[in-house]
Amino acid sequence: MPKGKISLQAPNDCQEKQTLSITQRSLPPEVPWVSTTNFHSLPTPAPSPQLFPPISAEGYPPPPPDEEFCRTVRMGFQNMDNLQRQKLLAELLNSCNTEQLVFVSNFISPRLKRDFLKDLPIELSLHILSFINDPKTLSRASSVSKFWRSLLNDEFTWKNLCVRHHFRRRSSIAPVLPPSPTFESPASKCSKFSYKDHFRRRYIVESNWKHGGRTLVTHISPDSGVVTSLQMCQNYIVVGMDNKKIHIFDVSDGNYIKTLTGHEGGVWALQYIDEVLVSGGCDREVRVWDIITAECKYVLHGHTSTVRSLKMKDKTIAVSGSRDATLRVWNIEEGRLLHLLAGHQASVRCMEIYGDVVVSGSYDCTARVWNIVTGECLHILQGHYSQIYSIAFDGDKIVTGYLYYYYEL
Amino acid sequence: MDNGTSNSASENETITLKSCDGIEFHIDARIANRYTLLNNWNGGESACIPNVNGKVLEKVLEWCEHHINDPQLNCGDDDSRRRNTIIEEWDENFLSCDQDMLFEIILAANYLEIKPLLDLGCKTVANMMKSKSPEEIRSAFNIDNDYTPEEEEQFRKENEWAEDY
Repeated sequence: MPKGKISLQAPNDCQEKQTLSITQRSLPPEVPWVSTTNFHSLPTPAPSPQLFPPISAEGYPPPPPDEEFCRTVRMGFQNMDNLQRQKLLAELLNSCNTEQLVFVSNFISPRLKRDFLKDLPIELSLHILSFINDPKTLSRASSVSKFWRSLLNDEFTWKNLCVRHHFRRRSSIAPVLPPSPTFESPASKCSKFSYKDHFRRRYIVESNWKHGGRTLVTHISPDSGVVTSLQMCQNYIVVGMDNKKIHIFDVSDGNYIKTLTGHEGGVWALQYIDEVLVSGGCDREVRVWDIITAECKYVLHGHTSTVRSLKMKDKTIAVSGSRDATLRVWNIEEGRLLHLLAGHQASVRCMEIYGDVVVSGSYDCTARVWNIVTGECLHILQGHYSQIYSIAFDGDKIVTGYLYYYYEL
Repeated sequence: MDNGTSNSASENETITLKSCDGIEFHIDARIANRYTLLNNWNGGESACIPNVNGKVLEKVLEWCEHHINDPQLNCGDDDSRRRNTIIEEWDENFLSCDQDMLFEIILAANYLEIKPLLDLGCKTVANMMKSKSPEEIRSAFNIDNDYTPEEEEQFRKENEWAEDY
């Protein structure tokens, strides 16, 4: 720690008295800088026999002070001890008007500030940064100066921030390295992984979840319609519309690719695997499409009401559920009906396939478990008091969602 | 400064500490007991604390005295302390001194291993940066901008991800 930066000197009595007596004697109120003994004892670098501007009979020096005069005052000041200086400064400031005081204040205030992060030992600077939880301040601070930037590239700070935001490293993105025998910094040990980058990625993802992200591309279809169903994976974003159309977009840039037309009613359910797309809707038809050629391969008839749910087991088998209370299992490669699954008492609203098993949720307040291969109903799950709107199935457990209640296992 | 007898004098003795510039402080022995390093220097009449001058030591001891009845800090809750950036009113007033004094207090608290005061000082500096633009931070700490406008623009773009939300 720099010694004596602020030092309170124990004043001894006689020194104090002497100082006071000098100042009292030597400072007429209007000419505070005119001193006697101190100034005369100065060694002056330039030959200047006349140290002070001549004092007129009234005791006022003639303005303006030239360079020589300023130097003299400065050197005189430097030769004073702390108390003498304070006294002199107080006298000077007392004789300033507001404008001059503002000038002094503006002049002084930046000089009273410290670049804490630069001047403190580095471990204390990092300790300060550890109290900042928001990346906004940290990233802004990194563009303050070159020194701050180097400090804020320190992995320690970002690692702490990761911990505090619960952004744990996963082994898939962070290869586990053997302990290094040398004392290298974490950054050099693992050139690929940076906590700052890791934090940035995770933070963006989290923010997008919280705030809805940023709209990359917006498409407004020229004909008005409601988006009823949507799937995004692999290469395409496929959107089903209640205006009978299916729009296909490029998943990488969001650009519009093509529209599939053919349905005679609104499209309410769809799924695709690779280039095979299956869709169903108000026209009671299930259509099988080739996304690449935009060709409709099959139109599958059978349902007597709107097709409201639809799932593909693979590129060969698809199951559709309808307001006619039935499910139908189709071979979509050959375009034929395999099984009619009847049993629900009301509209089939949702379904999920796992392996050869499909579970369906219905407005009749039950869920049913079916075997796709044999077409038999394996279980009827009762207990809901309301229509089932959504269902999830992992082969073992079934979770259903319905009006008024959260879920039932 | 004579703090020693201000609270519960009857049961507490005072000890004497001396700053590096020779100013003596008589403090409540409980303060010294609380912070090991203060206690270490209580080695008789000539004991003095190197590296800390009287003005700074006076401030540090003033803080210690005010917080004499605080519960002892548990080392385990380091991170929960860190999350909490709220500063009590008394402490805030105490540290609303000039930056040079704050700087010296941080150094002294670190040197004397008075962890809560060190944290408080660091927190205060951290809070001075919050919600400020780089230019405002520079002005708050009188830092020269050693970047070109082009570099600044580049950083602004790089940091956009943290700005948006």
